[in-house]
Amino acid sequence: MSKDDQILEELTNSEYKYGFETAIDVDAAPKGLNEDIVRFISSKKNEPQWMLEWRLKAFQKWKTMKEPKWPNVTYPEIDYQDIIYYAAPKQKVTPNSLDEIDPELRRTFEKLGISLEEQKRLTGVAVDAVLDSVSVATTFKDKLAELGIIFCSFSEAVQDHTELVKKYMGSVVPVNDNYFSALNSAVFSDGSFCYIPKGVRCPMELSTYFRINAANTGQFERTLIIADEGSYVSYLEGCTAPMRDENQLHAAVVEIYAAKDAVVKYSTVQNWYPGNKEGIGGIYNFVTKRGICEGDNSKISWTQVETGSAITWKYPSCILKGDNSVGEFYSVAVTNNMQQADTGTKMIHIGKNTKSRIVSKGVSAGKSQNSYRGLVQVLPRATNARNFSQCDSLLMGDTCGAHTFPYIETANSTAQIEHEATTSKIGEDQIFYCNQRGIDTEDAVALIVNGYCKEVLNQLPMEFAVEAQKLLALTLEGSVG
Amino acid sequence: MNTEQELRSYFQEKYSSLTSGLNGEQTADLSQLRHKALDSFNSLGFPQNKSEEYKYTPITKTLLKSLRTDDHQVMEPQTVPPFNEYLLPNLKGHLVVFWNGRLVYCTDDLPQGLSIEPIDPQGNSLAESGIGTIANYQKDAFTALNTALFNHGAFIKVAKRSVIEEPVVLYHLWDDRANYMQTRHLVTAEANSHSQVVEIYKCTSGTKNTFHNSVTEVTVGKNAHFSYHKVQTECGENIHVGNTHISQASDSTVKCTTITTEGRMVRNNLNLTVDGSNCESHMYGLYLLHGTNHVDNHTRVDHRLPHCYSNELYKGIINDRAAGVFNGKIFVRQDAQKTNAFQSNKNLLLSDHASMNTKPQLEIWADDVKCSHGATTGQLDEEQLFYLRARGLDKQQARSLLLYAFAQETLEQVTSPVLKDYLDQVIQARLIEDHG
Repeated sequence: MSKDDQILEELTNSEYKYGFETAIDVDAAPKGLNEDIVRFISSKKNEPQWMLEWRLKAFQKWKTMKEPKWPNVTYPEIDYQDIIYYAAPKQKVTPNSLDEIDPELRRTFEKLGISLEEQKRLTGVAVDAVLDSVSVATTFKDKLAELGIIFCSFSEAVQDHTELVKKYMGSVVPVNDNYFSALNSAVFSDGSFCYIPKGVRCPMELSTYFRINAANTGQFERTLIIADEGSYVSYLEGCTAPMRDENQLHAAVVEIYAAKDAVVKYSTVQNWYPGNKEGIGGIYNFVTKRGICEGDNSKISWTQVETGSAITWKYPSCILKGDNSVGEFYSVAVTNNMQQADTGTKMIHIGKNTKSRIVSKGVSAGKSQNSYRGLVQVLPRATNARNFSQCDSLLMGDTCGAHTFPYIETANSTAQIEHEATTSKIGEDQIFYCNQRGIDTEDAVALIVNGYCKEVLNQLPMEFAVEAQKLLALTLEGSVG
Repeated sequence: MNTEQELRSYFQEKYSSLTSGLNGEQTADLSQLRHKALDSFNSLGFPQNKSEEYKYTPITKTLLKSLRTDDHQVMEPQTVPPFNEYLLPNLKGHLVVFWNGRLVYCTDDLPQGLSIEPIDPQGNSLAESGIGTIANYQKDAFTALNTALFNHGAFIKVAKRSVIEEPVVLYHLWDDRANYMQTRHLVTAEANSHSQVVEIYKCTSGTKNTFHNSVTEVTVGKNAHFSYHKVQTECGENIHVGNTHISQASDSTVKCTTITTEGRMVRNNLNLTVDGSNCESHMYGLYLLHGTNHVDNHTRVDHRLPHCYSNELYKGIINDRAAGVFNGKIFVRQDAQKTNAFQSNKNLLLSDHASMNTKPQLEIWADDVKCSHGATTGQLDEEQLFYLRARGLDKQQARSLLLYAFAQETLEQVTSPVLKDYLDQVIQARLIEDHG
């Protein structure tokens, strides 16, 4: 075998890069879900009474709800009693500085490319790392505090910023919004909390890194971002998990609140373990993400690069309530092998002169199914609402599927709604052009896909854009030829 | 206001009186088909609020509110007034006329190659028609209901290699005595034939609520050319559910236009199954709504074999408190490589209380395809209005002219010039009525 062939062999067979498991002692709840587990989680977190009551109420609500069946995905029934709802790395004391964190844990994050210290020193990105269910480290806290910015784990926020949490938690995604948001509200273990005070422009990117490590666990984190009047924040989220043969559930809730003139930019690079080539294992990513532009002239922008997960089921949405508010959604969803994705957005126009823009790029390869499902709703009061949607699908191979389900509901005569969608494959002429110039087919595909996704990738902060491009190429490896 | 139970027993009673009235005279096959369809209707039930297919069209609620379940005279023979005055004067064609859902006239002056046989409840003419094979009664409650209960209709057969110049025109007329109507038509266009069918729906008098549940099944043979026009212009308080199922064989061309300008609640399902390669399918629709009209167009194109082309354009102008709904589905199966499928839905909302819900949907399992869809909802372009007004047209004239032009794009697709002229007049009259 020549050297070139070897490299090619390695490349096409390359598997999930982040599939290692860290040997750390975990403190876990017993399997199953009942009121005692909810109480157990709450007491573990040392939560006040009102929080426990909130959880119990959510649990009661969840018991009355049914799992939604409408997404265009198929998976075996989930046994909710076979999941561990709480797992935390064993640690005696809350760390005050990074040096006190378990060295094994730190190595985990270094392997992931998020060296907490490096990050701190070099890139100037504030990171909140969440392993299994618990936030393990938050960097740059003090520096942010000088500006009045609160960036901490959710459980700390419950203790220290009770009023803010009480006021905003559940205001954007109500407990009974859907099956998984109710489940999350009952058993969420940690997450990130962020508050940007009036008129402050957050000087650095805030970032959360999620990692599922322990076996049989579900991860249920909650993120709450509050941007007060005139503030600005850019927030990043990344995620990985070890390779396992069983499916693991990830049901998160993200809430964003934007007051008058506030701007929030939320970027996700989702790279949960997608399962192997036969579709065994992988994460079920059932996430509820929603932002509300409560104040006038506010703006929320979602950017997502979805490459991982066995099943992705999420719709980052914007409620455009304030006049002149703006909602944006940029998405690249890549599915390969047996992956399934049903993702899109909801833009709900309530205020006057509200604008929304949707750019969704789907790439399906292997035997995967990729669906775009979106809602653009213009309510009667929303005069001069404006929407532009574009959702394109790229098909690679004749065993995959691409589907689009756009819902457009207009109840105001001054609204202007445009929607366009295309589905096609990579042109043979394009591949030929690249081949002719010495670029092999694999690289040519990566090049073309990158170009196709450029509009979305351009929206990502620089550090993420590089990672996302690499991820795209990695996900599509072996899908050609 | 009825309960759903009352509605179900109303139809059950209709079924019992139909079968007992026939005294076992219907063919065994048909009686079995009706029975199966009724079972299927009973298990499907009326579409509920949460039903995805009827998300924006509360048909069950409207039926509960409006259908007169105490009316038992519909099946009785009625006297038929002279219907000639209600026909389009210049539209030449092979006439079949239904009054209150009953066949009252069927032409016997037919060119060679065309046969039209009335369908009666006994189903005598249906021996080899293949009724129920294309219209799937297992999935849609209204198709099931029609299959169980249909009593009148036309079985149109176009023989191989025949070119029928003039269209077959099916008039559906009704008056105040009507309540529930169900018609069933079958069309078989054999290989290499050319033909067209026009269905016209018209209310002759009265303001009472009526419910019309119709099914048309069309088989288009190899290399046949078939066009189908559905015209719903004067439908008053009619609640209409129409299912048109078309199956296409290789190398055939089908063109459909659906034009609706009135109706309390209209639901048109157009299902095309492209079961051959090298087929062409064209679908055009126009809905011009005012008052409290509610019109819902659902189309479904199922590409199963390679090298086919489908194109779809639906346009809507919605005024007052009217509501428009559009749902276009394109399926491209794994074997249907080299498919080109296009879909477009354009809407103008003219009033603050008008609404439009649209859902253009693509589901694709083949990779070597070119598919696209587009949807817009908006208003008349201010610049175009200004251009016209700068040239001396007043506001109303300018608006009417632009609306007329907007509608023209689909109207142009109507192949019969007489029908086109008629529709043109209807639309112009409407624009003058609504916009001065």
